[in-house]
Amino acid sequence: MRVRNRAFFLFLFLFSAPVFASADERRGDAFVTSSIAEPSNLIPFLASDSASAEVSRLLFNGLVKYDKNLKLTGDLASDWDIEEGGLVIVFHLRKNVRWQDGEPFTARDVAFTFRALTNPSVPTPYGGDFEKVVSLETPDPHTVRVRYKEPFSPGLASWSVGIVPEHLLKDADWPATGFSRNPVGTGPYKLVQWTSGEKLVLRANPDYFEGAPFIARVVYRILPEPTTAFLELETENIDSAALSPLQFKRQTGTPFFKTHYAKYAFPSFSYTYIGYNLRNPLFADKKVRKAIGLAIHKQEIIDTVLLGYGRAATGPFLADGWAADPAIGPSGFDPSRAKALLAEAGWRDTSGDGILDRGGRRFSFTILTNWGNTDRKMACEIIQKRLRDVGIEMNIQTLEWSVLLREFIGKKRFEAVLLGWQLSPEPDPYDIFHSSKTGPGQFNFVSYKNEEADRLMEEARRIFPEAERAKIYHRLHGILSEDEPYTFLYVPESLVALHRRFKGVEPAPAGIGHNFIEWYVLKNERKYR
Amino acid sequence: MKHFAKAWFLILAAVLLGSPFFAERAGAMDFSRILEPPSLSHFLGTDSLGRDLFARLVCGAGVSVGVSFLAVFISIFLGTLLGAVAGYFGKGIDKLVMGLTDLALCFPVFFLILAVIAVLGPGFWKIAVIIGLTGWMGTARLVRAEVLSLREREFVLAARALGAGAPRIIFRHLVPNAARPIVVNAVLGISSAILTEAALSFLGIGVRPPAPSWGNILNDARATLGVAWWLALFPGAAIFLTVLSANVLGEDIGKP
Amino acid sequence: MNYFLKRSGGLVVLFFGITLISFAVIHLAPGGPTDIYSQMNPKVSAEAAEKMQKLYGLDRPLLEQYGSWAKRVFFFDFGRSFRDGRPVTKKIAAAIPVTLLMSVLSLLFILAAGIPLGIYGAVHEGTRRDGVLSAVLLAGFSLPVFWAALLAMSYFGVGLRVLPVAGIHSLFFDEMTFFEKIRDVAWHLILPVSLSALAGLAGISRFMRANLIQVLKENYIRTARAKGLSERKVLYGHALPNAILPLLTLLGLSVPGLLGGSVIFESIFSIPGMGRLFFDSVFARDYPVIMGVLVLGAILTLLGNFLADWAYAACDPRIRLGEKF
Repeated sequence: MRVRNRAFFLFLFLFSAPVFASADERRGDAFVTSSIAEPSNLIPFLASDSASAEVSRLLFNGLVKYDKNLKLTGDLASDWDIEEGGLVIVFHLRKNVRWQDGEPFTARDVAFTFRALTNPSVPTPYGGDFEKVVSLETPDPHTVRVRYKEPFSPGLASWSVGIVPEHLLKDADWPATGFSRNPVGTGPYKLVQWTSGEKLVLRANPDYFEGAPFIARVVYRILPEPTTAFLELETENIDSAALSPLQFKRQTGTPFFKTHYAKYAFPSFSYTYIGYNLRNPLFADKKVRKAIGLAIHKQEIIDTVLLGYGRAATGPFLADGWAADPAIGPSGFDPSRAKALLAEAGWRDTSGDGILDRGGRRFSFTILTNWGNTDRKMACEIIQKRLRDVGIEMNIQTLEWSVLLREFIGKKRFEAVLLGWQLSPEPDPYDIFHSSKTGPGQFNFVSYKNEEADRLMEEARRIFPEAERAKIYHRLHGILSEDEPYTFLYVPESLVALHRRFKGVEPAPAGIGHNFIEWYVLKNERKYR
Repeated sequence: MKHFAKAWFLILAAVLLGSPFFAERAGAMDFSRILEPPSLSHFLGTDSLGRDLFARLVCGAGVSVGVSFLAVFISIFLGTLLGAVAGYFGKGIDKLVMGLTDLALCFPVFFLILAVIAVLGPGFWKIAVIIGLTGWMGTARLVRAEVLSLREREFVLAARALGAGAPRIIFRHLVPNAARPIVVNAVLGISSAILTEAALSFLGIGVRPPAPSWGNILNDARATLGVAWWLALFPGAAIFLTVLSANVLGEDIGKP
Repeated sequence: MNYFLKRSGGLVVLFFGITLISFAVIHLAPGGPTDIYSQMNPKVSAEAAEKMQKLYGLDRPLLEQYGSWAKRVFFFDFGRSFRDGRPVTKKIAAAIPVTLLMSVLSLLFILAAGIPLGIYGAVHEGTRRDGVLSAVLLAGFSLPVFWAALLAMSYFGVGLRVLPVAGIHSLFFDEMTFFEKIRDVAWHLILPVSLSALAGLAGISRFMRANLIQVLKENYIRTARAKGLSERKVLYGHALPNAILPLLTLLGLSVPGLLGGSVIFESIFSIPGMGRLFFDSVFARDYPVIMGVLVLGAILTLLGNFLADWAYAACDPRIRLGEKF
């Protein structure tokens, strides 16, 4: 009896929330968030900016998506088969999915999206993922067969690209189509209003195939100034904002903030690094690169620039992802070893000016970074000081993005850069480190070439099972760490404040947004209609 | 006011002379003391890399004042030259130069500067040159009017009769007679150039870091607003006082 | 009428110059259109950038690009934005009302406060009060506005929480009644408008004061006083109209300043106007929008000058249009 009683209370405790708040009770309120920039285009495969991606994620679905643990799972496809040793992927589409205008979603839409992705007059940045596709067939309205030239494991994840409706776009005039501002998707929300420079308003899609989301409206307010966004947070005019480390650490301690907002910190999907131009004689020698790595005190950068909200990066993979080898640590801070390595490489201070030299050339170089990014600028300034301690003179030049990319990186007119890469859960680093990707404008701009690394990256692309790919990537991780074409610096944390009235938030490796459609606000706590 | 302005410029001059001695201190980082409020050891506080704000303001003075002086030199030189040439030669040349002036006056100057800086990238010299190139129109109009009223006067006619060439007449006789308004324009120009540089740096496209300029430091202050008031207050006050002093002096010189 | 014709002829030449400069400023520099907001993303391939270049005709010779652009501009077609494919005219049309509203409001504010202050100063010329007022105005004139905005924003917006700090209306503005809307917009505009008026206010009242002092020394004022008119009548009936006229020119000239200032205010207060549109476009290398805003800004300036001249001529009996004087 007593046991049963306890179980009963436990039962009550566990399930009381759903009992008192039925699904209908949870529907309502608005989630007002801030975006630092205006989305450029809501067609999922036309935009490369994060503002567009964030909004179009709620409007469209891909065939597959990442779940909260960063595993691929079905989205518009309920499941898939990999056939003929990886040459063919067969997607089985969900039935009863409708576009927001009521038309049924079918395999024809997938075929249409594929044709747009590979159409030379469609300016999409994502076409590269689909170059290896030989053919796409739709044997019936709910099956899609994709055939690849060779087995291509990163291909599966590429189908997370948002699928667009054929019936609305077949006569579209790319890219200047009205659809990009009046999109119709399959997603949990539909766009109802877009006031340029001000806000986007999304409304819950009652017919969403996973069930209508609880929060009735989502508003993206465009607030380009992080300071303004924070002020709006402090006056409860927005419900959520990305915070700077300084705001997160020093400005959120007020009783007001604590009672109204919850703070979340999780590793971001990115890393910051120094890339060396390996064609430059200065950096051709591995010893020099390793010496620079040892001369930089990564933790000090993390503590000062990120105020501790970050960790040292060890390689080009998601820090906790399956591709990273957990045994590989960051290169330590050891200035005396750095000096010894530089001496081995022939760099000595013969002129007595405090700067090393070799054959009459002083060890002086310029590092480029994009301006407008305070964190990177600060990191550069700290590194400048540390390198000076081992006898290297580093100048800092900050350049505007497009100039930096086109004139300096694209044309390889640089000595070193301090930049960051965005990561996705699909780890394939082929574009960044394979020796075939060193052409003008391609992403192996440091001109890294290592035959073993090349072979490993090619092999990993042909294998589907994650455990086997992981083994290969672990080896690649080791090689990159040993060769040090990049000095991996840090992985910053994403810092977010969220209003406490939102319930159902579930932090996971994917962050907090993964179950957004399940968030809700209790009736008595609602702020908006 | 006047004495205050003069005193501030004297202080600035002293600061400029002393700035090399502060260069090292301005660059010295102390990560254990980031964003500290004013204290005895850092009497204007420290910035987000633990550098001494006072030392950075001292070094920044050189950059801010340097940019504006250079810009004003360019704009005064251009404006005087164009205005004098237009006024002296008249007719077609006058029409051409004044047409050019009208054209340049059509543009919201800040838009132009912003566009050029954004495409060329920021930097001490670029900013100075661009502020200079977009600021000559007032001087040109003024000098032209002055020259127009002077060119038929006896001393000019006499010089011409003696066989003096146009450049000689312009620069030996006409321009010196317009010296006072030119100087007034220059002093006021300095105040507006300092403001423009600061505004550009404030928007994040000014002089390149780590070189400190007042506007740059103020830009850093944007990120720390609400945490480090001293980073916003002191550089802003330095800009304000300098601009105010230049305006006071300009007004004073301009008094007949 | 001759006067207007002559000016119009000049306008055509000016217009040509404006398009030339707007084009040159952007195209003679390195770099090209990319999306600055995108982080470097390995999924964005290099081929994509080239594709964009071709699509937007950026690979053709400059002169050719200018020719086709200028031809279209003549018919007020500025092309489409690189960033989102919308027509530039549409983007500008959406952004310009806010900027104009703010400019007009701050001009009104400047006049409403600046003229009385100027009169006060002139009437009390040389007194202690005049001295203090002059000093305060000069200080206002010298204040870096962005700095003032930053301080005001953190004080009124955060410290006291009495004024909104971002945007021009509240979130669900569309659901408000007409009067609520007006109140809401006014509430949001208090800080940006009064701050942007600050510098202009000081300038206008200083100018007003100097003018009035000048006019008060004229012979006809002495005559009027000698006639035995009251000081009030002398001031408001005779001196003031003559002192106010030159203000018109100054107002016309203040248009570019207001537009330039809009960049700063609109970015600090997150207001979606022309200044912000320009600022964002500059960084995205959105050539069509940049050129469009430059041309339009210049046209607005011209229009301002033109209106000022016209008003001046209409008010001042000494200027008879079309006649030699």
